[in-house]
Amino acid sequence: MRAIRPHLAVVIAVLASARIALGAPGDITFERAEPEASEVIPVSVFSPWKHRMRFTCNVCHPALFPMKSKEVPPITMDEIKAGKACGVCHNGKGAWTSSINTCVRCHPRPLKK
Amino acid sequence: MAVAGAAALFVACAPQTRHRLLSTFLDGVPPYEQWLHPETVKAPGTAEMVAKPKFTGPMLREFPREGRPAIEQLSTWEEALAALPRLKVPKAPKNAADWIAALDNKVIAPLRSLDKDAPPPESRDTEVPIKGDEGVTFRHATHGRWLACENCHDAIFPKKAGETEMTMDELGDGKYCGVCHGKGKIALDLKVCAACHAKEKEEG
Repeated sequence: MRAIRPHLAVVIAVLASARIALGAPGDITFERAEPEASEVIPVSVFSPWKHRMRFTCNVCHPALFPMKSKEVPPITMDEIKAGKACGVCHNGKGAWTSSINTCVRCHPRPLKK
Repeated sequence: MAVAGAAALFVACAPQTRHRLLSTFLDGVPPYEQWLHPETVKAPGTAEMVAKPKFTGPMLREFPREGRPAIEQLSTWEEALAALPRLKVPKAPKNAADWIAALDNKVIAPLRSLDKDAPPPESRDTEVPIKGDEGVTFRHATHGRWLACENCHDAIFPKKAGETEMTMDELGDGKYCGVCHGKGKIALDLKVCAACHAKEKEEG
């Protein structure tokens, strides 16, 4: 019996961490116009918690992004680079800019295999 | 003569070729469709964003780096969950953090505008009894710490206080309070009944 207990603890720890790794409450996984592109670049995820500790909701909503995620117009990397949508802040001046080193910050590798 | 010839050739070209030539030699030539019909054609699927700048306020060029709360160093939610108890941020039900407490404890100090000189958004502290359910009160004061009037009015709620009738089913479908509150949403889960359905007398 004694030998089993540590194993159980490990299993519980793994399950618990897997549960947490699913993402923070409120994370928004975007839908892609071309799903096949997700095989090359994973679909982007927006993490509100990272943003809400720096800004209140009204900073971005509703002027920049509508309140309902389903109503957000399509966002392209070209728009971001042109200083629209996320690019209003993520331009290398306000916040970090999109580059080959920062892809994974918005396009994380999916956790499900 | 050579210039006139080149000009004549240029005019005679198909529009695609002309656009390609222009783009080669000049900067800032709009995409082909837009260049061809500047008034009528907008970039596909992005009509709104192209038509008018969505962001009207002046941009904060540099976010302040000095004197910001330590929590902003965190990059993953796992780190945050581990750090929140240390930072005295209580957990909210459903694996969420109690961000109101975080605000009270000054663990977070969210900016209220991208423009550092802008006054804080207009707010009010009236309490709105919700129609059809005794004991449910909407508090402007709590919500106004995160939001401005235009976040909810009038797209989600009409401005006239207490006029909106709603059911929990509608909230679950993402209407009214359910725009922000619900499973997997930014604000408290709807299953935390006592957050709204607490009789004031019982609260003391």
